[in-house]
Formats: sequence, C-alpha cells, structure tokens
Amino acid sequence: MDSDLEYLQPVLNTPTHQYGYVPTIWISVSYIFLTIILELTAVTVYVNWPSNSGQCEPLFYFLYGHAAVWFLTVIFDHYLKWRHHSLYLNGFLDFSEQLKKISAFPLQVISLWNAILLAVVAWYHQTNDELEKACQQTLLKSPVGSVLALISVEAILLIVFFGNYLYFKEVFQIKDNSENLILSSDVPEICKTEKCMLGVDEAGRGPVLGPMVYGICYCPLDKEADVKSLGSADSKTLTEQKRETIFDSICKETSYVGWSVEVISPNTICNSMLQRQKKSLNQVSHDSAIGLIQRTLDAGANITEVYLDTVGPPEKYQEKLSLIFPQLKVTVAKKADSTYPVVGAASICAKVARDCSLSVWKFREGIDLPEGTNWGSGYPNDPETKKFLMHNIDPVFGYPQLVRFSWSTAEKILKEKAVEMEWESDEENDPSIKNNTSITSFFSQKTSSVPTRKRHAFFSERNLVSTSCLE
Amino acid sequence: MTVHIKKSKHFTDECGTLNKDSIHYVPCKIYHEGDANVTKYFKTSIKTDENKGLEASLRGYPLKGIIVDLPKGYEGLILEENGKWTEGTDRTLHVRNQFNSLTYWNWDKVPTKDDAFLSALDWIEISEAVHAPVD
Repeated sequence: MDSDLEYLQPVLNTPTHQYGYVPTIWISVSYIFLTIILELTAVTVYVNWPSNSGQCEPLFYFLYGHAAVWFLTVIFDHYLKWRHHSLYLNGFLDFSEQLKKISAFPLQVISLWNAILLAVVAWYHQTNDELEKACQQTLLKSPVGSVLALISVEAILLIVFFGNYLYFKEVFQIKDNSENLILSSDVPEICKTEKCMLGVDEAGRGPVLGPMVYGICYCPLDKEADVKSLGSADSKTLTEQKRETIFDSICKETSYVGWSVEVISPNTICNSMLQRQKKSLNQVSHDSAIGLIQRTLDAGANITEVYLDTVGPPEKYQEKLSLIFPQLKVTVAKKADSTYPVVGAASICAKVARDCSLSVWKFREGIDLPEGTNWGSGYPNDPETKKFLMHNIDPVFGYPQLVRFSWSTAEKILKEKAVEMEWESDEENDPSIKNNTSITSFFSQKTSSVPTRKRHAFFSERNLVSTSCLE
Repeated sequence: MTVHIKKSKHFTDECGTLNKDSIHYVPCKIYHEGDANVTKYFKTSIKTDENKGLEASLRGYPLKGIIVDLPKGYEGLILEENGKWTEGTDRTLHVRNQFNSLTYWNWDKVPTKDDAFLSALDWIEISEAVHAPVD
C-alpha cells in the first residue's frame, strides 16, 4: 500500500458491521475464563491440601498446569494473529499493527513466567537439601507458596490485558461509514505563532455516490511559495497518483503545513437534504467549511487569511463568513484552487480522502459486489455509474447507503425501477390533494340531509374509527 | 359472516413469537406487497443516538424511532389468508407469527404521545374502564 495512505487510516477504518466485526470476543472470553478457573483451582488446591500427603505435590501440579496454559496460549495467540491478519488484508493497517502489539502480550507474559518459575524452582532445589522440608514452610518461604503467588500475579496481568483488548476493540468499532469523520494533522508550532493563511476546498460535491469531502490546508504567510513548490494545484488537473504523491509530501512537511479533512458520508448528505427542514447541499458545504475553520482556530493556529472556492453566490458566501469570523480576512473567489496554493493543497487533501474512502468502501448492508464491478467516477453522467445504479437496486429499499438518494439521478431511476414510497411531505406538496372548497359549493344545495354525528375529538385526534370488518 | 383465526397445531410461542426488532412501523406508504430485505437494508442502518432513541435511514430519509411494547394482555398477530375472500362467506385466517412489541418510526421527529399511532393505544385503557362492570 502507498505510504501516504497511512495518513488516512481512519478513513480506511470502515468496518463492515457496527457489531463485532472481528469475532475474537468469544475466544478471548473463553480464554480468560479458563485462566481464571485454573487460578482459582490452584488456590483451592493449595488451601485444602491434606497435611498428611506430600507437601510438594501441589507445586508439581502448578507447574504441569502452567505448561498446559502455555500450550493453550500458543493456540490462542495463533488464532488472534490469523484473525487480525485478515484485518490487515482489508486495509486496517494501523489498527492491526496496534492490535498485534496488544495481543502478543499473553504469550509473552506466560513465556516469561515459564522462565521465572523454572528459575525459582531450581533455586529452591539448589538451596534446600530436601525439597519436602522446604514445602512444609509457610507461605512464601515454601516453593509452593511462592509459585502460587507468581501465577496469581500472572493471572491479574492477563485480566488487565483482556480489559485493554476489549476496550481497544470497542473504541475502534464505533467508527462507521454512515457518519461523518474529521481527520486532522497536528498544528505545526510555527503556525501557532506566525500569521497563517488557510485554504478550503471540497471534493465529491457532484457525484451521486460516496462521501463529499471538505479539506483545509494552512501555512504561514511567507511559506506560500513552499506550499506551491510541493506541487499543489487544482486537484482535478492532476492524476490520481500525482495527487497521492503530493498529499504524501504535504503530510511530511509537518514543520509548516497543517491540514484537516471532513468526510461527509453520503447518508448524512441525503438525510440533511431529506429532513423536515430541508438543508441544501450548499448549506451542508458551508457548515462543514465553517466547522473546519473553527476547529483549526480552536486548535491554536494563528489564522489571519482564509481563501475559498465559492459555493453559491460568492458575495453572499463572503459576507456570511466575514460575519462568523470577523477577525479573518476572507476571500471567496471562483477557481480559487488554481489561484491560491493553499486552496490547491486543500483540494488535494480532500480529493485523496474521497478517493481513498471510496476505494475501501465497505457496505454495511453486507453487499458483495461481483469481482470487477465498477461504479465509475460517481458522476451522474458517467455511463459506468448509471449502469451501477440501474443494476444494483433493491425493489423496496433502493440502494445501499453509498448512494445519495437525494440526487435526481438516483430518484429518477428509483421511480422507474423500485416500488413507490409515499411520504407525508409529498402529500403536502401535491396541489391535487389539497381539498380547497370551491366557492360555488356554498351556493349549491346541500346533498346530504342526514346530519352526520361528529365523533368526540378524543377519537379524531387519535385517528380512531370503529370498524366492523377486517380489511 | 364470521372470521375464524386459526393457530396451527405446530404453532408454539417460542418459535412463533418474533424478536423485538422484527416489526417496524414506518412513516410512509410503501406500494408493495411481499417480502423485503429488511435485515440487509434497513436494520443495518439502525443506530442508537445519544439520548437512547433510535435512528435509521430509509431511502435517504432520516427516521427517529422508539420501541413500543404492546399493552399488557394484548398480543400482536400476523395473519395470513389463503386465497381470495369473496363477500358473504366466512373467512379463515392463519396465525403466522405473533409479537409483543414493535418499533415505531417517525420521519425526522422523535416519536411522542402526539403521534396518532401512539396516542391511539390510550383507547385500550379507557375502553377497559368504560366496559368494566359497575360494582
């Protein structure tokens, strides 16, 4: 995998399922359970050992038991490695690396303890002419007592490990691709003291598939030329590979360049556009840009100038931003990504993040597309994308959450190919359903002379009607 | 005309009762009769929000929901009718499943007592009081 993708780990961390995607919980639980049982058995044996039989006997049982635990741990360890490796293959590089470190712990501890126990028992053998006599001593003076104390410490360590492992997995599993995600670099020290310029740009605004990504990039005012020399330009004019190389170099210049991206999930986009108070894509975009700028200011960067490509009418956008950030010099311009290097750099960050999250997209719906299925660029006019939309329809639910339902392309295909769904709003908007009383009806004679009994409001408010037949 | 509701001999409470997350009352009219990939497409979108409410997404529409337990002493039934019924004859319906709770979904609005469906359940309590024998 290319080195620059390392910086986008969290984008890659899009587990297929919200719930327990690595099925190591149960084996871990059984393992730790077994360890606890063995430990308790050891304690019980020690406490209840009859005084008339060989006092050294428990010592040997403990050692046999420990050897057995070692074998068990080897198997457990291999199982975990195998499971975690499949994560690695799925692109969860950092995570599997960290897991590897954590999950190697039990085998290391138990092996270490094997060595310690061997040394302790050898020492007792060497210093005591008769081991049996030593075993009759109390607690730690006897080899039985000290071995038991050692394995108890070991058991505690394993339990701590287990808690850690579960917690780690828990934290990881919260990430899910139906929600937005913000990734940021650290704020370079120089950007906290010197005046900085910040560029904002987006990627994936038009496509009917996948997330829209907002990116920002900032550097000290006098470093603008350096950012330019990294090769930043409008991301659309560069090849994918070129963009990744540039992104890589942006990430490496930690001394003076900072960046941040927000991956806005397709689900968030269509949910916003289809909520009761409909939010336009422009609003979603503005909110994201404002949010990213605010976060960077909060992180301590000394931003003084902001450059953006326009979303909607430039004057209005500029006015809105100047009101929110009166301390900043805001410049909204068309084609800002080719004019200002920081905006170009921001557009590269955004574009790389979008491509990356699309290339490793995992369907929460558990859909496995046949090998070689291509959804194209995601733009509505791309024939590949159209084909994908035409052939991957569920008659009732439409599409997986990769697709932005609120796009007219998707809506149109669904109207043709999927069953109709009628929402409350559609009724309100449809003029034919409005039952306006026509003025002439007041002059005509009332047709029904039988007064209908009005039901009590209790029933009408609750939509309750009496019925005598099953429909 | 009578309506017969029949429970098969093989119907047991254990295998006939649906899980808590099986019945979904969605705020839209779906012009479809038959099976749907609910587990694959809908259940995967369900999440718990910070206030312990439920959230889901249906064709891009944001939904908010709660789990509603049916009133005590009541049971939900899923009935199946074989063949078309013609007026004037008796009807026979077969119990396919039963349920004790359902998930009620609203379009982008937390379900409250103001929702007709939820407030309709008030009638059950009132009806019991109205129809109870007077001592």
